[in-house]
Amino acid sequence: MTLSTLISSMTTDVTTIAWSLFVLAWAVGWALKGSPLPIFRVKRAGQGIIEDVIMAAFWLALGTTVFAAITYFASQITVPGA
Amino acid sequence: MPKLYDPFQLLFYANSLAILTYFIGTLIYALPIPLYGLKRWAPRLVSDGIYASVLINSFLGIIFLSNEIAEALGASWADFFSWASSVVNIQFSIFSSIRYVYALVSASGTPGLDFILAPLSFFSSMLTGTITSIETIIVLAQIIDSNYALLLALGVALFSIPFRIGRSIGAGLMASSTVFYIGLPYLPKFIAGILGSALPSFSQLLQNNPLDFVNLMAQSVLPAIINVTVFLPAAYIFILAGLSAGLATALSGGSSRLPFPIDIF
Repeated sequence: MTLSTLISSMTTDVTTIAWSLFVLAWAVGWALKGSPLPIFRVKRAGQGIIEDVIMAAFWLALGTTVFAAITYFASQITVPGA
Repeated sequence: MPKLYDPFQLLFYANSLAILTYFIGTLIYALPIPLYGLKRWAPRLVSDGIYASVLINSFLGIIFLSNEIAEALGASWADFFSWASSVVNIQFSIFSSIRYVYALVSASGTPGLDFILAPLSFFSSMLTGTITSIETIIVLAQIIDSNYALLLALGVALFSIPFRIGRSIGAGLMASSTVFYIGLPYLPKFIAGILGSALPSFSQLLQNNPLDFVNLMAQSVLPAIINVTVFLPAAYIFILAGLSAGLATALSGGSSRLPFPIDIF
């Protein structure tokens, strides 16, 4: 296994885990927020998790698109003198 | 097996590492653990990944800009190396004239002139020291001139490692290679601006009297040589190192570490 395949397989794993965690954390967040417990701190923690998870989904979707676009355009451009 | 020490191979690794950094950031964003110490890394890693990706994609732009600035300053590597070789030529001609006078005095068999031998051998060892100094600068210049793209790419690759592991040293490598690539060829002009001439200047080398020769060496030739080969290059390299430290801090946005040990402050 070369260094580049190691890094790219790690990236694929990390992305997969991130999407799975997104689903998990979304469920956990709403479960905490909607729990019938009259403890404000628990509901606040659930709210925080949901906010973070929305950011995570946004950056994941944007990153997948943008980095794919960069890789595509970089492979289309021939570098002078390289 | 791809060649590791190829700038574009390094940039390829840097790009993969930047993407990895970014996605580790999103993974931490998605963790359902409300720990501030951990969550703090999420926006940091996402922005690090984007920043590293911007640096990687502006690699050729940085090289182009460095060449433009160097050209605007009016200094070129060819001029620098021809200046350095003239300095070395002058040093060797002084060295051989010292040995010549030494041989004349010791062969003359005049006991009254023997006291000149000690300063003469001191001068020649001092001159050897200045030759070492200018040769060190030449080797440094050759490394930077022929490996600028590689050093820059290595800096970018270190910069892209996740969790800011190589951030300070990567920024230091990028900044110092760029600053020295632009600034080091300007050294002869710096010396000329201060001393009036880029080469050590003195009157006629060989004198009729060996005592006059020793006086000339001690009073004008060796000070001129030491100025041109040790003091002013050291001062100039300190200035460049200070600029590198500043640029590295600007690039890393915080602490930075230069790839060579130097105490300025």
